[in-house]
Amino acid sequence: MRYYKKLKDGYLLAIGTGPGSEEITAEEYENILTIIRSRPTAEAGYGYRLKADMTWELYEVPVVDDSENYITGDEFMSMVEEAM
Amino acid sequence: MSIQAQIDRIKNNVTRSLAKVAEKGVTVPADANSDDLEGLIDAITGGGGSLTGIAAISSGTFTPTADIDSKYVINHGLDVTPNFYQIYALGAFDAAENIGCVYHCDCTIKNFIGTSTGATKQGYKTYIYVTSSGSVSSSVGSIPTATTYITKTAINFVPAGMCKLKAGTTYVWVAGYVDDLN
Repeated sequence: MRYYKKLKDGYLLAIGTGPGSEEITAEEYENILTIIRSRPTAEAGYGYRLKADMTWELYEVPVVDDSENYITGDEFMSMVEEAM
Repeated sequence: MSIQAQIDRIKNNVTRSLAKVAEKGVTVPADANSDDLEGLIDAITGGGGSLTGIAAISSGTFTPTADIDSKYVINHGLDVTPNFYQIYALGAFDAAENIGCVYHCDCTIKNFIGTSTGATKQGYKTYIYVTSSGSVSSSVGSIPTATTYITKTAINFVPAGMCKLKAGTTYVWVAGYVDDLN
C-alpha cells in the first residue's frame, strides 16, 4: 500500500493512501494519524489546522452565509433538465 | 508426456491467458493467438481485479487534518476520466452534518450498476448530485452542497455552503472507467 501526505502553503492538508501527493512511509502515516486523532478542540468559530512542522495552529473559521445558495425543488429539477 | 499432450498444454495455456486478458477489459479478437499476447497485455490499463467490464479502477483514502471548505484534489492515477466514482466517510455522523459524500455513475453495466448519480444515507448525511459533461453539481431539495469536477488525473471536490470535508474523518474513494456493456 502506498501512503502519502498532502501539503499546501506550509500546512498539512491530509494524509491518505493511494496515488498522488508526497509519498511517506507507513510509520510516518501512523504517526501523523495519531496526531490528527489528538487534534485539540477549539471554541465555536475557531478551528485547528496542522502546520508542516506537525504543530497545531488555532485559526478563525470564516463565516459562511448559506442563504443565497439555497434552491427550491423546482430550481433543482430545472438544473437537472438543463444539465441533461 | 507425448508431443500432442505438450502442444495441447501450450494451447490451453495460451487460451487461458487470452481469457484473463479479456477479463482485464481488453477486447481480444476471436482469432488471437500467442503472437498477440504481448500487444494485448500492453493494452491492459487497469491494475487488475476480476470484475468483468472494468477497464480501469483505482481507490484510496484521505484524512483531512482540518475541516476543508475549499477545493480538495483527489489524484486517482487512472490516466482516463472516470465514469464512476464514490467518496464516502468511515463512521457514523450527525444527520445534520454535510460532510461531502457522493457517488456518481455515468455508465451502464449489466447486472452491476445502472446509470445513476446521487447519494446514500447510511449513518451519515449525503446529497443528491446531478451530472453534466463529467462534472457533478449538487443539492437535495434546497440544501447546497458541492461541485465535483473529474479529469484524467483527479477528482476535484469543491464544497459549497455548509458542506465540508471533516477534520479527522477518514474518507474512502473509488474511481474507475468501464465500457458500457448493455
